[in-house]
Amino acid sequence: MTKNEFEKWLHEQPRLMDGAMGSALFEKGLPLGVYPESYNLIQPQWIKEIHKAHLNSGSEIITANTFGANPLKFDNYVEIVKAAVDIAHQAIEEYREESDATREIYVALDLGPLGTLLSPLGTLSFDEAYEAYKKVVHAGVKAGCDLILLETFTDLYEAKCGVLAAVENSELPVICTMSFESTGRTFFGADIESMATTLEGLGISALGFNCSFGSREMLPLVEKLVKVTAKPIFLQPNAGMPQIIQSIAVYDTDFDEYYENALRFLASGVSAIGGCCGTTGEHIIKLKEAIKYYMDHSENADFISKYSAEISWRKAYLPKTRVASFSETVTIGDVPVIIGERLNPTGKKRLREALKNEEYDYLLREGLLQIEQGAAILDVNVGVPGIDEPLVMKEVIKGLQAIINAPLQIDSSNTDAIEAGARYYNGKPLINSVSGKLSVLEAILPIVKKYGACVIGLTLDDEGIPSSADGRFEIAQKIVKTAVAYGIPKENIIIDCLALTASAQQAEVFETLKTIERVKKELGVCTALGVSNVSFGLPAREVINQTFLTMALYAGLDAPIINPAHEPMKAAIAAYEVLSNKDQGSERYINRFNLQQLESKNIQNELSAEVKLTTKEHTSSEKLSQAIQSGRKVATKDLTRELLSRMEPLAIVDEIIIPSLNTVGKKYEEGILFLPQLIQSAESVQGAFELLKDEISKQGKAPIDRGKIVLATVHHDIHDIGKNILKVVLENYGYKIYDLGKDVPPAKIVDACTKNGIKLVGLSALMTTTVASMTETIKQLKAVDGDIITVVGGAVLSAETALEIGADYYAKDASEMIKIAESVLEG
Amino acid sequence: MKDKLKSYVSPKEILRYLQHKDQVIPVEMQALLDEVLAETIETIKPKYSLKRLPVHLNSPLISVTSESGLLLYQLSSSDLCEVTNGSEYFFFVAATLGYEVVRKINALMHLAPTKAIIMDACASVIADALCDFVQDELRNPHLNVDIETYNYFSQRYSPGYGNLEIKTQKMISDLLNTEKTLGVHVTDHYQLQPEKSVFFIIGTAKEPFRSKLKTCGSDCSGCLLKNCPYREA
Repeated sequence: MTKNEFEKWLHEQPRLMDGAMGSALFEKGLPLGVYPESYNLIQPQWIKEIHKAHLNSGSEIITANTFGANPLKFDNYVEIVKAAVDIAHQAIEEYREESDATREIYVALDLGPLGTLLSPLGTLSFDEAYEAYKKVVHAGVKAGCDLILLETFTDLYEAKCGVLAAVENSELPVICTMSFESTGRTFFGADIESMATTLEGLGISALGFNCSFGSREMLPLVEKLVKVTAKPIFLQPNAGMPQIIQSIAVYDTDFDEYYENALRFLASGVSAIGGCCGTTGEHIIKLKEAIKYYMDHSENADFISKYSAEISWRKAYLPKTRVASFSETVTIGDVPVIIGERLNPTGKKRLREALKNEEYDYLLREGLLQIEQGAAILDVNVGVPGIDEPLVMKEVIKGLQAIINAPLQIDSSNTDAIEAGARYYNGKPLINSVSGKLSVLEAILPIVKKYGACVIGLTLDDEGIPSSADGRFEIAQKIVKTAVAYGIPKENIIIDCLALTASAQQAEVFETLKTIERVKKELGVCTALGVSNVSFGLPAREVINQTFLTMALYAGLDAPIINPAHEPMKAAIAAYEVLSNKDQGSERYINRFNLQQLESKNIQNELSAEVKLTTKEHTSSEKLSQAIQSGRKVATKDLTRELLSRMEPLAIVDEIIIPSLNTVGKKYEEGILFLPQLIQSAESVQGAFELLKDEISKQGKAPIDRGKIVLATVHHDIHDIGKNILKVVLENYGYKIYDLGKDVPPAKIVDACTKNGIKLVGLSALMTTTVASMTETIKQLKAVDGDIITVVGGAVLSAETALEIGADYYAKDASEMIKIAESVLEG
Repeated sequence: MKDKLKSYVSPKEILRYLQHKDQVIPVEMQALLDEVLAETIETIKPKYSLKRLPVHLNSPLISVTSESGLLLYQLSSSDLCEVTNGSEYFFFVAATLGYEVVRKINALMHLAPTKAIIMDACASVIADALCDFVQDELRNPHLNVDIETYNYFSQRYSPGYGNLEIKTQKMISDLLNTEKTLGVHVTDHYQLQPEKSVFFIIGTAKEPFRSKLKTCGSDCSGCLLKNCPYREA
């Protein structure tokens, strides 16, 4: 069945899915701990009986017993999938012979989560998961299933992975349902709107919910979902909330309520209903009755009156411009949305260096800071000559989304980098950008379509940027028309009308504003703008930027791309929201300025406290040392800045910072200070080091380099807090750290050492079972280069064990590691 | 649950995790510790799941059966037998603080590592506190219908303690279907994800327990935790 045929079939009337397989098999005697899918081969008759019970109750879609049949659980998954689909077909055939039923009945390949978590939650890579799903999809298609159902997902990233595998490796209709808690989020934090926003653009035919709880608990979630998507919705709640009686889950369904809830689902526009855990033929019969009743009465005044609330849910849906991470959706077009611009190497030497040197932590910190400063979306541009931009884009996107909830904007002129960013992004991205150039549209719009992304279109073409608003509007019109022709919904298109510099093209400043106005009114799409370009080359840039921003907001600008650290720009937005009645009661505005006053007071208090620590007689060097020893971030940075006016950066490092940290380290070893104080001191110099690196870079000198160290938590071990503590301390001692993360295979550590010429490796393990991985890593390192020094640490290790496994040193804490590093790397 | 859980959280234990001995804690550091503890409690999503099953102990073997007597699992651990000697039932418990706190700790490691390590310590202590809370809840007749009869509980014992194999984590995960009910996974090397999760076993009987083994269920000479602060010389 093609997708079009399936979608047409769904539109004819609500459809009836089947009930539970797993719980039904337990009822029949499936032992605990045995995979239900194995019973396709062991007890195929049981599977067939369960299918037939559902068919006899009226199911129109039956799900093959393949939920966990994937290569990570079964070597013989192909055989199991084939058996499952064959049994389903046999059940249908026998059912038809026994009943004379002629209705259309379809077999769904059922795909559940793989059972191993994807990175960063777990250790399975996106590509590994994709390959696993791809194999099952191929097996299912070959076996003859009619559609693909991905269900019971709680990780939106894994759901996206599975959907892509299904959509890219078959022509079959694909449905995806996820399992939520009653809070409206999954265990992993995905919310309903983000699920819908992310999945609906990936080429699926329907989405929805299954499992977790019964229909009563599912209703509030359905209300939320219906309001945020136009996609057909599938629901498969459990039979109810289970009671544990003699250690067994027992479902006691109130069938009147069950029937009534089904009607409410149908009134809200749900396209298909079935049942999950605990549901039997009896439940499916009730659902069938509900569908029949709905078909017969949905046009009646009484029905409409009784279910007016549910019907209104459906009507509340409006297509909107939305982008999403896995846990947060940002709607563009209601209130101004700040896109943070700082992760763009243009004009930023430090960022360029960080990208070239793979200092991704710098980017992550900049990302986090921008969110703290008020960015709702982060622009991510990693375009620096000489790097593998697609690979770096993938790594940076993965790093950012592991710690940041805000949606990301993938900014590149490299098509492969855009594809890499969009594919590995856990959410619905914003792609920056296309233009009116045909070659660009043809290269990038297919990517936008494939990943269901939003796209920014720049009003320029092969002739450049038109000086007139009319010229730019025409390009905007062309972009929108072409994108729509590619199947990209209009609400996914955002136009950037391009701010030119007032100092060079003063007459055209207003043309930008006129274009924004026309694009909003006549094309009905949202707008973005890199605002600060307007003031380039002029003094008092902030004044120009603020004024232009306010004018652009009034003209219809929805998403200003700015530096969120600039308070005057944020203040302009806040003021505009008050004046345009978007900030009703000026609540946000008032809170903002009250908060600013409080923060200002706190900073004053902090500075006063710091003044108390030192006296006028102390030199700046002494004050800096004191600040570091007390863990004072702001003072450390300020004093470093002051000292840079009269000291060389390396002198500050060697004469003040390192000795101060050593003093703290000694006090920690002696038990005068405890761990957070050690870390606080190390953390306090982070900002200082950034200033020093900037200054060294400006001077064109070689960067601070006390030596390079690889850190990793060994293979199969997922605990990394100890390693992370080491990293903070070592970095702030001036060492370059290659942090490979956790669960790192030996080969990856060897590779990092050989590629970067690293001679010192720190390995961490928390479990006795993973010490073996440590031993193997050391063996492989020594085999490649006998000069590589290995230092081990972790709760299960000691100096003796370290020697036994072939390590060169054992470090019980960060202080000891510093001494070892100094001795090994600096003699 | 969070309100009740707070009373089980020991600030002293958090300090022990942070390697505090008897140092004077500056006022600002104490304020930071308090702030991060509050933030940790705000962030966690504590959940637990449990099942009671009949057991028959014949050291080192423990036969775990269904209520109808069908053998479900067989464990082997003389230490577990010692700690739970006399048990007629075991409670198998899975407890977790959820993923959000782990994610927050990872984010903080980049911007504010001091807060991150404090939050990590707080979360570890709260995970233990959650186990204490659940252990107390086992006295609640709503959760434990036979509390009037089986009103004695052993110390709690986790896979990896003493000679109870770490792979028992998988057995408990399957038994309680923790992937589906709590979002807790067991890696192929038997570590729990999210990290701030604990599985444990607790025996219940009609008579008091009299084990000589300590809370972690192992004598130090046989234990592999070399740096354990409870280790006796």
